Amino acid sequence: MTNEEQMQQTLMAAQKQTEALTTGFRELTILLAEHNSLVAKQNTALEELLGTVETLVLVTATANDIDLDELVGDADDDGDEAS
Amino acid sequence: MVLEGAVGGDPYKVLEIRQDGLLVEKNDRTSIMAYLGRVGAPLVAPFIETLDEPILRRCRPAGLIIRPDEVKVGMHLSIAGHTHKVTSVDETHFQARQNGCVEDQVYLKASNGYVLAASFYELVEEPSMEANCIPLNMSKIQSQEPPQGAAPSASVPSHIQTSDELRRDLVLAQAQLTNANDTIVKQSRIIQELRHELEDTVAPAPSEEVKRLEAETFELRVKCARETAHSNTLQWNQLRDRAERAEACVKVLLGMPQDPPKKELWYNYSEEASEIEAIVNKAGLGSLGG
Repeated sequence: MTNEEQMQQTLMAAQKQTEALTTGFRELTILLAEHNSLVAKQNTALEELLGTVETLVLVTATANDIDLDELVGDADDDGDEAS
Repeated sequence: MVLEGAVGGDPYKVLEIRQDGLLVEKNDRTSIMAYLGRVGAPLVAPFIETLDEPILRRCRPAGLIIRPDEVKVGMHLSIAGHTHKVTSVDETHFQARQNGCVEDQVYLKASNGYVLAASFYELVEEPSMEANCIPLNMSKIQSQEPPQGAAPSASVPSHIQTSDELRRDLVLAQAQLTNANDTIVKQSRIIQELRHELEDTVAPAPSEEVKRLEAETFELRVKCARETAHSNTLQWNQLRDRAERAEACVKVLLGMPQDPPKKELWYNYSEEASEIEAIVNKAGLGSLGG
């Protein structure tokens, strides 16, 4: 086999590998898009749940004349100190 | 009349041609090997079949009967429901080959005006099997050709007579079905060959413009996916911060001594609060202790 033929084979092998990588990358992109869609749905559900919790917290604090900012700030400070 | 010889690939058969024109195996009278006769071109009837005798009788079309000297090389016969082409003829036998088959099969010729094959017809499209045809004895074939204008034998009916038109239609339909099956087999073989050729054919390379558009589309798709992932991450971080603050608030509220809630506010929010409490419990944040 001549050097030219060897080089030709090497080039063909490299081209096949490139095509395989490109195909894999395309598949990964598709999977990423699907993953993004699922994450977006999850975020939406979490936001809805979190809004509900925040409303409940606000209602509870208001009913008990509690200043949440002050309390949470104290709690954060305590946590920081404890750690 | 009793005949002995090779029939349809079997090296030895004992057959009997009866007075009614039916050919039966000598050792099995209920197995009809062949019915001899033709209605006329281009009709083909599935003559050599293992039909019950009463059915065959009812289906039997009257008509001309092929004589041994009518069997010619190149003639197409319907044998056992399949199209055969006669490849060689001698005094006592003839060889015929089914469409798509490689080997010839030997059929016996009777001497009293009957042969084992039935009526013949012309094929629109003939398979190319000439290369494998080996005549048995062409000189004898030539000598057996009837003289011009020779009168048919006395045993050959001169016209078509059917006692049951419906049964004749059935025979016609069976013949057409047989031909259709042969055509399907032939076409399937052609399709298979074309499929193999297609598999060996390299698809044409896309043009540069197509390649460029595909690359741009792919880049846009990647960019969109990346930006969507970034947006999702930002949204998730905001939600995490809000959740941490809400969690801290809940812990504080649950951990501190609480006065009874104001009934008026709880009344206004009771319905919503019950739903919220259910959601909180489901989320594992614990009871609010109300």
